[in-house]
Amino acid sequence: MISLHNLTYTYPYSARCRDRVSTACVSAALYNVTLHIPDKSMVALLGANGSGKSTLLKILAGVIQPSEGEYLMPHALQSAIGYLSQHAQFDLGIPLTVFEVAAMGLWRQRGAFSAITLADRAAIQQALHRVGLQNSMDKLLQELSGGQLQRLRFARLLLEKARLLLLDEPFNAVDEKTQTDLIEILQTQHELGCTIIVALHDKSLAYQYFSSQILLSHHQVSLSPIKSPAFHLENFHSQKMCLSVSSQQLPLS
Amino acid sequence: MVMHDFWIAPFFDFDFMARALVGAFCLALGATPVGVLLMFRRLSLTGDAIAHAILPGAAIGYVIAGMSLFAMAFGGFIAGVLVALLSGYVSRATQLREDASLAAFYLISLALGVIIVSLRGGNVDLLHLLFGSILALDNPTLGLIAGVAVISLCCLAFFYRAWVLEAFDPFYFQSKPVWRACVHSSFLIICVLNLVSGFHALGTLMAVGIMVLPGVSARFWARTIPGTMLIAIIIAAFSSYLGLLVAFYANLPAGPCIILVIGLVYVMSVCIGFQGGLLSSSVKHNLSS
Repeated sequence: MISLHNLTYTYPYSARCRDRVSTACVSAALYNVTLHIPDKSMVALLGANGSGKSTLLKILAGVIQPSEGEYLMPHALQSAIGYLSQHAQFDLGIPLTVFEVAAMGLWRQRGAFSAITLADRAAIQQALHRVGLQNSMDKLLQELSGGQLQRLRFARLLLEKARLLLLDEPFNAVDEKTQTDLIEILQTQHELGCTIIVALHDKSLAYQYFSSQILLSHHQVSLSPIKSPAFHLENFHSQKMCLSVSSQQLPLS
Repeated sequence: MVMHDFWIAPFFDFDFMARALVGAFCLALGATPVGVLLMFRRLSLTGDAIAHAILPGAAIGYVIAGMSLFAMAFGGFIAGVLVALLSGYVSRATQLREDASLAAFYLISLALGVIIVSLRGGNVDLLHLLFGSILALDNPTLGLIAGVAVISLCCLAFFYRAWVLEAFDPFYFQSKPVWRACVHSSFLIICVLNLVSGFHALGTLMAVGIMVLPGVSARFWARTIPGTMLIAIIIAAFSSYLGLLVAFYANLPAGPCIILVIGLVYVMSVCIGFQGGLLSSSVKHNLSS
């Protein structure tokens, strides 16, 4: 179980929300979020732009620290987190091949100095095969399309052997075929026992493929089990609706 | 026989020419591969700034101990590391970007260095510090340059994976702060070491030339990072040889001659290099249209 207790995140340079009279902290990216996510679930994190999805994922990934509150997760997950940020921050001017970039996923196991063994090479090839890049292994990164680059990032993520996968809008700029392929990979990982949390825009995607959904709205959790009677798909855009639910924290599934 | 006399004899007949060649070859081996990484990390200009920052440190060493190799190298090293760290700190702690804060630091350093030198020495010493004295390398200096080349190559072999990964995807280390600090500072220290060693041969103004310029040229000929390093080393070594010959026969300052020959290689590479040079780009463009 991953538990978040009263988690708040304010940006370092805008920490003036204490002065404000309003109850909700205006400059907070996340405000007072309490949430429980069971192990081995596959969760979609929904919400409008700026609702705090990315911030939540970054906190779980350990990239940033929450300003207030705390979160707990089992050590097995904590020590094996795979995080895919929203934008690839690759420097494409550096001439590396697809194979080499995928091999970076072995960092946790091999570190800076250990050799990449024959078994590792086989694992890298297998991962590239799974994402459909088996014919592009020796290509330079500049020669890849946006969809192929995302496939490559998935391959690297697979090689990290993470138990908790945090993905920030991974299907943003990819075509349908790529999206289907990548979701299938996530489902396989889920069946293998990974806990998966994905920030998403696409509601239909979230309901079609994910076992549970969390809705963030105005930096707070407005909905966390999807099958709650209070929630209907057509109300998704209605802020009134979201806010009215936000007062009560519903246990997930 | 005439060929031999012209191309090779100067290095056998004159001790200082042989020493200069050995020193330049060591720099090519040690500094150039690091320069290639510097280029790939988009830090070429940072290298330039750090090279300038070495001057006041070396100048303080010079004021204290005269033309002492150790004092100047040590002072230069400390000053270089200090400016690299300080400018990194300023850009992280304020809204100033790193390139801007580096520009500020290196201008201050250069002015400070020149003033400190003039406190004690004359113009000859100042020229020596600014442009180096590759034709007057003594044994300890050669030893320093060769030693730095060995350390630099060892570190390159040791840290290669981490350095390349950090250059390619700095975000990857964001959740591993200790690693990030290690990787970043080890790279900066190796850079400063190489610049200090280049400083003795080529001076504060030219040291970064033999580091970065061959790598920038080699980019147009190689497809991979190790390939770029290899070609950069060859370019640097060949240019050093040719530059020294030109300086010898035309009676010109040797350091600038070497850098200028690398500069010619660079211009050539930009025009006809087949990895994205002007010619290959326009051919590709014509083929596709």
